Amino acid sequence: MSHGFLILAMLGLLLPVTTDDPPTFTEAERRAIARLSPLPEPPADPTNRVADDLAAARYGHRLFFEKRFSVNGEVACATCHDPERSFTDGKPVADTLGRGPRQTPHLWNLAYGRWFFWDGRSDSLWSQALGPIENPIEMGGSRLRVARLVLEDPVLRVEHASIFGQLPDSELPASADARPVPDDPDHPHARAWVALTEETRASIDRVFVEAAKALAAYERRLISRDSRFDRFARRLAEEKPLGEDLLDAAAQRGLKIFLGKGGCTLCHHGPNLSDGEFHGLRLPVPGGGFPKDSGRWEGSASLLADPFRADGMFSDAPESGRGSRTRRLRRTPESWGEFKTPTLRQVAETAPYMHAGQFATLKEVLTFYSTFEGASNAGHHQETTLTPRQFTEGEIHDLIAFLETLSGAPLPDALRRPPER
Amino acid sequence: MPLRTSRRLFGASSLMGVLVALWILVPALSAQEDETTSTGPKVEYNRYRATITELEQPRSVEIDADGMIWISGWEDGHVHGFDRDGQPVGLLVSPAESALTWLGVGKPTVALSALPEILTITNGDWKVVSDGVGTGPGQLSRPRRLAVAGDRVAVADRGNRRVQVFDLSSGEVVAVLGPDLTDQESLLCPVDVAFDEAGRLFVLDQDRARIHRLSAAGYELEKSWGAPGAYPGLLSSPGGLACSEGRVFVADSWNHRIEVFDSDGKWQFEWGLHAMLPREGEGHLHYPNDITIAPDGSFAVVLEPFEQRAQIFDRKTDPAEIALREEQALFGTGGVPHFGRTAAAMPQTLAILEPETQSVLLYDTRLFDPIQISRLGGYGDAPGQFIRPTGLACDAARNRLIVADAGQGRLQVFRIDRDLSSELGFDLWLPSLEATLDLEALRRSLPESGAQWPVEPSALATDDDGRLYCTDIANGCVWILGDRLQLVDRWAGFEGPESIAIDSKRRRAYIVETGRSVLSVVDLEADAVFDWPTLEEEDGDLEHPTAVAVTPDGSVLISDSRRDQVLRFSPAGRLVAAWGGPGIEAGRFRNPRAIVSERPGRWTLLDWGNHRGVQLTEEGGFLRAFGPVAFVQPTWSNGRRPYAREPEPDATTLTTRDGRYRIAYRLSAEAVPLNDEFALEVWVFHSGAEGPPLGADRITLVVDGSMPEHQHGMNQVPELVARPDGSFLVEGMLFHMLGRWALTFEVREGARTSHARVEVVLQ
Repeated sequence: MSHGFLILAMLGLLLPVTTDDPPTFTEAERRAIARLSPLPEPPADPTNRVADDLAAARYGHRLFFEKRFSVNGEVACATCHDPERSFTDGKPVADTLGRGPRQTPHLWNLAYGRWFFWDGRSDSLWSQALGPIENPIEMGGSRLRVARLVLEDPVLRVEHASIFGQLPDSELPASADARPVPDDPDHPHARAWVALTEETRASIDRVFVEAAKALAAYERRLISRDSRFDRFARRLAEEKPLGEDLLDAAAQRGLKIFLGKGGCTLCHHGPNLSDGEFHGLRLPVPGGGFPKDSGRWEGSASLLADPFRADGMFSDAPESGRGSRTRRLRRTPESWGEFKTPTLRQVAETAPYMHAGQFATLKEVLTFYSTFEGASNAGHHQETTLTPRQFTEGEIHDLIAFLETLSGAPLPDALRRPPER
Repeated sequence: MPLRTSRRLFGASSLMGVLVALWILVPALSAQEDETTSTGPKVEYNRYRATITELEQPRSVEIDADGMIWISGWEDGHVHGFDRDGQPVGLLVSPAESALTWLGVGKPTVALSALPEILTITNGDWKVVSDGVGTGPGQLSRPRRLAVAGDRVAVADRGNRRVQVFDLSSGEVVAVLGPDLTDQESLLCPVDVAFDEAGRLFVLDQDRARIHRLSAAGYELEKSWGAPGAYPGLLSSPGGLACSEGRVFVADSWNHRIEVFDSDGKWQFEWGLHAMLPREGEGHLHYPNDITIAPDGSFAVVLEPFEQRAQIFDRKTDPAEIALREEQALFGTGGVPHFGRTAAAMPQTLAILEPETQSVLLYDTRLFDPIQISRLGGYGDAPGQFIRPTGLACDAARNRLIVADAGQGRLQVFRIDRDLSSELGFDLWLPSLEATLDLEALRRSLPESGAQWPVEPSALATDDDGRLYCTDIANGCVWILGDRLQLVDRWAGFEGPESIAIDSKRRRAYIVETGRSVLSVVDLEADAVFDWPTLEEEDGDLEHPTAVAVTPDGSVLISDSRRDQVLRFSPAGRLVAAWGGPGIEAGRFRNPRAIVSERPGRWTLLDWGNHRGVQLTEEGGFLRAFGPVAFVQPTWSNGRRPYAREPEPDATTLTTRDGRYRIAYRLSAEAVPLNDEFALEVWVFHSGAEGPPLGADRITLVVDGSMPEHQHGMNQVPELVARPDGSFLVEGMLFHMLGRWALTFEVREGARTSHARVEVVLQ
């Protein structure tokens, strides 16, 4: 070999790779991809006996767009979870009747979830649906308002009764709103609530929970599946030519990074691309300073104190796995500041990102994972397992290209539009 | 400019032994102009005013109705009074024999003495209220602080893990609270008590990082809150609390801040800037251990024994000023760990306690600088975790690291099987738990032993025969255990044994007694116990010994925290050399602690007060200083596995680390599923013995899972059912993340627990 050739060969090594050929996938990567797709049917939710009841889903669809549950008659679930915005409000943090501390999450693939809300303070989709109705900064309503409307509105009344049976004929009080307010017993809603008889309170709770179970039946149908990635994975499994029509070369490279260097599947694993559990990312604190949102730490305390727990009296299957998981919950202070891993399905449509909308774009998210720049101080005595991923610009580009292939086939129009009255 | 208060002012204490309190009265200071009546949403005492320095081991601080600051715990035994500028203005002389460790100023004035006893003083007469040392009602053990409200005095009776309330007029015990408060709540280490304006009693439990509120009438438990950690509202070894205007102020010692809650436990805000530079003060806090608020709410005093000082802060309510400070607030120090006071070494490996995370850091010591290669522990009651780790020892012959935990009263034995031929790397799988001894259970099983109090191990040492020596600060004794952790002997009669070293060749044990500030020598050859130094040599005087080590030639090294020196004595007890002296320069120390040798000719000293490790030559020459954070690339991030693992599970049987038990298990599924519940059936047998499995009548079995690399476990607690045929069914196991999990088994029989683990890789 001449010296000249050797030098040229070395120069060749230094030249940037200009080809845009898609990568090849190893056997291990193929197995890993097969574990991410396809998305199976959602697991059953025995705690909600109407979870998969079509009539309940239709009724829940109506309630999802119902504004009269709110204190000003202007806010429905769909106001913030706007179907035209991929069931988000597009804002960094919720801002309806008041500004909240956290981002409005999208509603995709909730049927696969184990815990609900960013902090997991609910353990079923139906018990989650109760929260925003009574939250003063979201809908500002109350269970009494819900029960009254269901009992008094002729359409809702008939539909409700056809699914859940005869409605209670309790005499409802004159006040507009009544609900328990655990941290403020002097709140007018709380006073109105304790003034009711036990029987009336039980009837109101029953209707309130049934309405939420119908909402959950609707929300269980908001599923993102059959994405370009899923079709690509099928091709891979069937050992067909991969082509670049589904995932182009950049997206395929991004998939390799997703499985490998990125370490993304540590938490975003399984066909729903989420472990459904909680992790601390040392995300920047909106407005600076030290972290103040304790996330799962308070969330788990709220869950354990929640009368609507999956193993409680309102559950249709308290002995089910959902109930036992709550019963077995291990609460540790390490969960301070942890938030739920969201699914990555539909991720390109659901900006901004993270529990307080810290990042406006996927590029910002990946840049954070790459450098940890601006990470909040983990504190003197808290451990962290994350290390900066040190992505190149090109790797971030490729990862975004891959994440963009995770949006599913469009939902049927009928599920997105308000129901006909 | 902080005012320095000379101790010499009170040095000539000819008044000692006088049974009359002498008040050096000063005119009350003119009222301050600060906004003492303002009621903003936030009230901070963060406007720095003055520092009181050169306090020797201050124990507590109180402010009386006239705004005078009283600090107890001085060497001279008296209580010293200061005005709110930190100027010395008063002295309360202790009655005979007993140093005053706490003073409650009111009518009457109440004090706690070192004897210990509770005293009241009325018109110059002292009266003893409590009933000596003991476990009965009215008796005390290592009490920490008092709180006074009307004719009631509450005392944190720490050694008895309880709070007692006395009626001052009748002297009767009104309430004994703890150790168990309810089924859910118990006291482990009550260190401070306070009454609020409504007469409710607040109790601070240091080891549990928890605050309890008891009703004014009947002292029923109404509310409990707090958990260990660094985030807002969490606490790390809190040392003291105070109530004022409906708020509870907590000196959150290891977080270097004051946490403020409302009386229902709702977190309000925090203040205090962490001192980052050596001796940094004037508003920066370093291990604040007590806080007190003036009765009129106008100022606060924060006691920092680590810095031998107290800082005085004025009340600040200006929202803009508070906001500015919050912006400047450093939340922690970026995860930088601290060296504690204790270390142990075996060839090539150094173990150092890191109290803030209840962890032990492991270092490779073959290279120029110690390289961090692993860590173990973490706060908790689970196997491998600690509540308050205190003692460390290595048994090089058996590759063992033993950790004593004062909070749990137990010893845990880890195996450190290093493969020194492989690449250096950080590996959290390196330590594996072999056995646990519940010393407290052992004590309870020996009612005749004379050890009355819950065991609090304070230091460990091993000898050449594998025996383990564990000092117990609660019972003033040394527990001696064989290499299978069986009880061999017990030596009693030590006051505050805090460090121990063994000279196997000369059959001697050296024990540092902080209660008497001496080194006690147990000479088994001569069958004698005597104190050092024996020679009346001025330079040889031990002022405050804290740690002891023995060199291969039988010399004895003693760290003295008051002299800031390491003293070297010959085996005959003659002072040979003194290393160090106060300072942070090379070769100087501040509050030196453990001294160990991990290779011949070199010493590692924990220079605790300077937050560093120091390596010294055999003659005490300075080699280098090192910090806790030098570590190499974590091995999990690049897939390398440098260390030998325990054997792959042979189908589904394994033996516990100590060889005592054989465990067989069967999974409910073909393999451990990812993020889905699974169950297992488990059978436990004595190794090498025939016969049916050991059922729940013989053993206690615990099965769990953890991710050592992530330092967390499962998010749920599995449920275990003992079946009549001697097998166990474990349900509710769930491994929620990809990666390497440890499936752990714990078999307890009597006071001893054996451990085993299997690696499960989820891909």
